[in-house]
Amino acid sequence: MLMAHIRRKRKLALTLSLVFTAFAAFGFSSPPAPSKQAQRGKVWRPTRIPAGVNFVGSQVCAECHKDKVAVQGNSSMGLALELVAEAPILSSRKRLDFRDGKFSYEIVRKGDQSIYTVTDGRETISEPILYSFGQGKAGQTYLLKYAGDYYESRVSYYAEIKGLDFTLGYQDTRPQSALEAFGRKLPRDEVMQCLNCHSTGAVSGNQLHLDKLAPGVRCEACHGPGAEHVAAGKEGLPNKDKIFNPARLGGDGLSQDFCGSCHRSAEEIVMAPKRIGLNGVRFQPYRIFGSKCYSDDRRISCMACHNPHESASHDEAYYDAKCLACHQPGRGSGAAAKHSQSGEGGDAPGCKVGAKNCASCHMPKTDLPGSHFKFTDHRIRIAKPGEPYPY
Amino acid sequence: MFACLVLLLTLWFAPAQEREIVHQSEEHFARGVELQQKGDLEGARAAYEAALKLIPRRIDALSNLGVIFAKLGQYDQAIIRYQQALAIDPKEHSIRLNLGIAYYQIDKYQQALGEFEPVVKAQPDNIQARFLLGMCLFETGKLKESAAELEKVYGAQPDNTAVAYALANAYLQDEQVEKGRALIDKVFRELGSAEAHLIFGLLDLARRELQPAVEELKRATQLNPKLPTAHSQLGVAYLLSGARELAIQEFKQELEFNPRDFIANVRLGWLYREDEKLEAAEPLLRRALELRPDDPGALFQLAQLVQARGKIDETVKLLEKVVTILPDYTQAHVLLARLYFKLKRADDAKREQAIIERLTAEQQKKQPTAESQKP
Repeated sequence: MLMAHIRRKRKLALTLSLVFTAFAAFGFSSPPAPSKQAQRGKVWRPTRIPAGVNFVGSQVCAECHKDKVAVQGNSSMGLALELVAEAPILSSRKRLDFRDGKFSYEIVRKGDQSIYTVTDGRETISEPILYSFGQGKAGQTYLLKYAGDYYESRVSYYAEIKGLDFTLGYQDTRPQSALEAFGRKLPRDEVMQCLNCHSTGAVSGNQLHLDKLAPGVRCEACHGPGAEHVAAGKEGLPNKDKIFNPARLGGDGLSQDFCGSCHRSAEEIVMAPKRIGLNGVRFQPYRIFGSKCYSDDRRISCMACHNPHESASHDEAYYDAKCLACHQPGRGSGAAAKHSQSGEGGDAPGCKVGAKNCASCHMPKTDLPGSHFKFTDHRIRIAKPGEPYPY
Repeated sequence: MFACLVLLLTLWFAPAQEREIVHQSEEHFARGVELQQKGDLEGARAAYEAALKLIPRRIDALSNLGVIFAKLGQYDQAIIRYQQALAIDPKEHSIRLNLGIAYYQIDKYQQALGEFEPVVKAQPDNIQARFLLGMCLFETGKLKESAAELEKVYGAQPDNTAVAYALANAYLQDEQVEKGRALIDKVFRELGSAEAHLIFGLLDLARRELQPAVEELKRATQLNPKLPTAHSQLGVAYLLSGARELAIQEFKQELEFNPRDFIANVRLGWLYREDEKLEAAEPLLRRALELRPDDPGALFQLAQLVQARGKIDETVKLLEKVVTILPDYTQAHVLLARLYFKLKRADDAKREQAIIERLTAEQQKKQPTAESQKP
């Protein structure tokens, strides 16, 4: 009896302590969402610039790499962000306008500025555009600032219609105020993400440094800080290892970790909280990852087909040689097995239909509603008519 | 009871010398009980050990010695004594309960679960055992089962705020937000204590109302800076709000006085891993996995960490474990496919690709339409 009493006392004490333990132990771990900060290894990541990093600027790079810097500066990536004063689309149009129900929009050029205005007749918000995102070959969206917060413009310029329309994703939104119609307030992380991928030097150590912003994706965005490389070169010392070269990455690492850090990797897209749907066609690393011929082979990586120093070619024939590097005409399905097993992109089967304009059938152009643009679907496949868009 | 009967019979029929041994053992045991009641734990321990030296299979002495060791914080020793006692009589449910509690105290929730389950099965009305079972289920991530057990406990003890707190928390973590809110409103609205602010903060967190969550959790930490989990939950709220540095500070603070907090370990380890502070991240993630060996989130973080260290084979093993535990963890399948490609395991990689395609299609159907997915 006494023993039982002692046990009971003990149990009571333990129960009380368990209440505290219970308080101490609450919580759970859900599978973590993909993080913009995530990176692996010691390679340079365009979206992950450590604090204190300073860039020398592309003018310094041009002292040795003049032609490359010049060409890159006029490429799609080089022009991924434009300063409003110099932006051709904005500077060449005195006025752009658009109407959505009771809200009317206009972008008016005033000197070196373009003023973005939205009004419902009673309330008007008018602010100068800070930066223009995108060269405008497909479209161009604007970064705005209002009352200390950054906003993504609710309307964008589209080349196909030569005018304004809803920014992608806003077609179904129903703003209740001029501010809601003005645009979407961007969280700080998202502002940094936008600027990291469209400009150079604006973000380091998870902080915005707009004073250091160089428009577009320039040399050091992909190659990392060039000071040591430049200094060694000026002293006549070997300097190739003093700068990061993404071309040395493996095929998968290049496509997913490096290019995918801006163009969106498969890992990021599969964890997206909202339905990507057809919109996913814009995110090439994610799309190519689902291709049957995807592997770690560099012949299926981004740089196998695209020279990042130049704009992507729109000549389909240009890409034929890239496909034929693996898919040699006349080879049958036995070769496919070899291709699959090796994982090295050995001799893949040739096409039974032809050896020209491969991409026209295997990477179909996809019309993304609202984008006024047809995107090349980088999910390489035998696309059959009427077949649903594969995720 | 059976043990006492055996002892009495032994005394009755034993020869004089043996009767003397039994008598001495009883004296040691009685002294142990007396010292234990007076709080002299070391003295009680010596007395019980003396009783056991004379009669090693004394279940009462083994059990009480286990209690003494537990009280001294020597849970490993307590567990050994309880196990020895249960080896003599496996049906001693009170000893089994104490064994489960000892496991619980050292965060071995899986083992504790293995002890509480048979106790509850044998004694369905044992509310304490059921509460502990509910807590263990919670700790091992079995949230629905945990809520079901705790509902029964709460039904029997509706005035027990600790039980209400545990049940509300289980609801919230299981995303049964409405049930959680109703319970919280009923039980905690009037309290105004740090615990009440903590649970309101948890409720806001569950609803992704981040600013109110931050305010509630801050208030909880102000009222009681050492309230377990308050700092780690505030860290989570900061993290979801994008205030990364503040989150790191809160997780660090939690670990200062509550080093075995799962959330703080796994989240801080994750953040350090992202910052490439791998040396700092690894012990945190490994500690998190000591607490919850099968937590897919913690396993995934550790997998990414060992991958960053170039240990591809270990990464693959960890990821394979992740997708075994959580087969629809698409992100883990993506990483696994990529590693298989690197390892030239093309067939495995293709299999993963097919899984990813299926899961992505399923997820796309479930998710709301994208409002904005700008590159």
